[in-house]
Amino acid sequence: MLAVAVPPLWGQSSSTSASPSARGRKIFASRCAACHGADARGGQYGPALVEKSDLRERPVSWFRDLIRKGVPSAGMPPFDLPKVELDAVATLVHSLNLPAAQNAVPGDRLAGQQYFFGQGQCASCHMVNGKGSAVGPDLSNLARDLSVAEIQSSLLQPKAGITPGYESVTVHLRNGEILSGFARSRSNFELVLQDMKGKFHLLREDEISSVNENEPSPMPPLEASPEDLQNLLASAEGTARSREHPKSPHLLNPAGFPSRGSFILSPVTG
Amino acid sequence: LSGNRYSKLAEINTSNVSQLQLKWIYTVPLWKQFYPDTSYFRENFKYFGLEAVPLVADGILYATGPQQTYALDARTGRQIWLYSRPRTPGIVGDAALGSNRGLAILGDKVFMVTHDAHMIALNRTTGQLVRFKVMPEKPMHYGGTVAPMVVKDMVIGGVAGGDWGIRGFLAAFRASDGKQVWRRWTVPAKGDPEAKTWGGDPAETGGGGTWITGSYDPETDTLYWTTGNPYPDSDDRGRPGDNLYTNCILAMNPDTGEIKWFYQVTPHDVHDWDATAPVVLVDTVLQGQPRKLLLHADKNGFFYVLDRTNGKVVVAKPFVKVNWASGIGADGRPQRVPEGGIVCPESGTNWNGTAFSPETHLYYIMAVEKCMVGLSAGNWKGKHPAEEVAKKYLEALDISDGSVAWKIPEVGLADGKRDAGVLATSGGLLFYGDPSGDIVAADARDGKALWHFTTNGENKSSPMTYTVDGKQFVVLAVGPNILGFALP
Repeated sequence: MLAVAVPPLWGQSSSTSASPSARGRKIFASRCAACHGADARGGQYGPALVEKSDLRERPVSWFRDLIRKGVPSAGMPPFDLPKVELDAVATLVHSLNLPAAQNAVPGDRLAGQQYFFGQGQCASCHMVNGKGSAVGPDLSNLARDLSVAEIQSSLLQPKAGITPGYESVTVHLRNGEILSGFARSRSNFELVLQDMKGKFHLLREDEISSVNENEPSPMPPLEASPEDLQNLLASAEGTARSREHPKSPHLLNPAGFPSRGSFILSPVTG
Repeated sequence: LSGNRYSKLAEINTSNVSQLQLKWIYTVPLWKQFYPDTSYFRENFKYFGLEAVPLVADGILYATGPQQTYALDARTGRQIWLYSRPRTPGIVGDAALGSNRGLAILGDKVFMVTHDAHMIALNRTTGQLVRFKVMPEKPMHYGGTVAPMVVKDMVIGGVAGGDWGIRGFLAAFRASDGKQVWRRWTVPAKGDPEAKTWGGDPAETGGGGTWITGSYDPETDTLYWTTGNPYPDSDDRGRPGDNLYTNCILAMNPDTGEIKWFYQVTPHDVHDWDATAPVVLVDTVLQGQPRKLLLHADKNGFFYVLDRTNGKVVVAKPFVKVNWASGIGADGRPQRVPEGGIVCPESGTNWNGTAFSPETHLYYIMAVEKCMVGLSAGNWKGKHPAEEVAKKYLEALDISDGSVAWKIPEVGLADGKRDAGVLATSGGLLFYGDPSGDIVAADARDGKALWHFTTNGENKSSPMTYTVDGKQFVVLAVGPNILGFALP
């Protein structure tokens, strides 16, 4: 299923070995990986620690306490680590489910953007900050909404998580016409179908002969080199910074203007 | 006790159930939980209501709410997408109350002005943000409530905040890339020729909001837009003169923002009489002559019929009780009379939608009869006579002489920004939301109510009508709902 080797979810090159994040990774590798997996996606004895949106709201202190006390009932022993080590590994685990925008994702953002609009052909279906095609789900807020692990999974296994309103269907009409596209809005009595050109078809029950669910996603799993994937993830992180809401926007706040460097592209003009 | 949920009632049965229709809606005011507990919000959120007038294109209905845009299936009201921005702290005025009056469509984009005066463009398919543009140039108390307007390849937006201190402007942006095409300031800078109408020294925050959508005449390629009051409205000590271009109807070149002519409805306003009532462009025969006219029933109580080619007054007459001016002179200026303690009107109309029917030759407005205590610098404190309760009327104005052809009194509270408007149709009908929460269809000839629908909601918007799949709908936002009506 996986077309490529899975690149690391956390950076390896940007920080020195003495930094807290490096310390956290080191402790994770020695103390946690045996059960939870080296990529934190779960192992033989412990559950995955990524793609757990219920962990997103937990503060670092919650992870720290849990690691310190363990979960004896589930077989996780207490880890009586020095405070500095406990803090480092708790911070790392906490970061795994944060939105991508709140994590520093290693990789070459610019190369990721080029891949998005070029070789990867992502922009033939998706739009980011107004650029690209509006056929598929808009990805401008991706890094605000999803963690790096979730973005990675959606790239490699697109069928696993479908954006609501983008369920793929084929509709046979009573007049013989056949329409394929996304069920953007659906009830027992009507269906708004968006075709692959972005046009909406407003269909009523009495016009519809049958509705067939297609393969969950028309998106093919990404086939990219680990490097391209890493760069793509890095560029996704960059998109979110541009979407931050200005803090005092009734005032002319420079914060209202995204900085050019943090854009996957720069559609704000004038 | 038997647990049997069975009723013997049989009035509604298989033979008549097809005629079952929606009879009423009650809206749970849940949103009250989410607003700050300040006197401003307490006062205004007693009666929250959407103010947007929807648009329909290609079978999709688009409407706006507080920092939100909705795309609905126009036949069913079913949501296709929703775009929502977070509220931002520090917003003041109507913008803080979530007031938003609609959007504009061009090509694959819809445009909305956010409460913080950003012009945003959304993709019509995904409903996601394509671009935003911060309209103001400097930090002031700008707000955004206006429905933007598309002219040619431009989208035009204005700003609110004239009661809080802004330098008003209107700006045009190229729809394709958001680049500013022009900016028309409504308050001059020091040294501008208009500065002499501010005693030579216009305040930087002179007001002059542009918070209601104007009109466009493609034949003469003229953009008409109205402007709001000078700031501060009840304290005129620092602004001797007419205060151009506050309280004006501006006729502009849409490509440059250059003023072709202007008509200042209330020179040197001290009563919050924004000129932001609609400017309705009508070609009709008046007094035996084919005329190109502009209709405008102002907050100041006068109904104006202007020659829209030159801004000259053709007809001007009060449509409610007016005691601050004896009339409009030949020079177009109000003939002011000394004001007593009570000034009439408080606000004869507001921004709410109006309609001219070419069939009845009547101009339909929602008018409010109410006088106010005249406040000015020096008398803010002290005892004031009690004010009467505002009374709302559906009025039909005769454009040939400005007289009130007929008026229908409306039951219900007229204050609280309940600025519901009127729609006229060639079916000989008027549609409007009344102040007691009904939606009414009335005979356009005499205002007699022919149908009504009880919503119990706050009417703060104007109805619109459209056809989808060959079926006519009338749609109106009431409270936090959008309601669609059609024949069975």
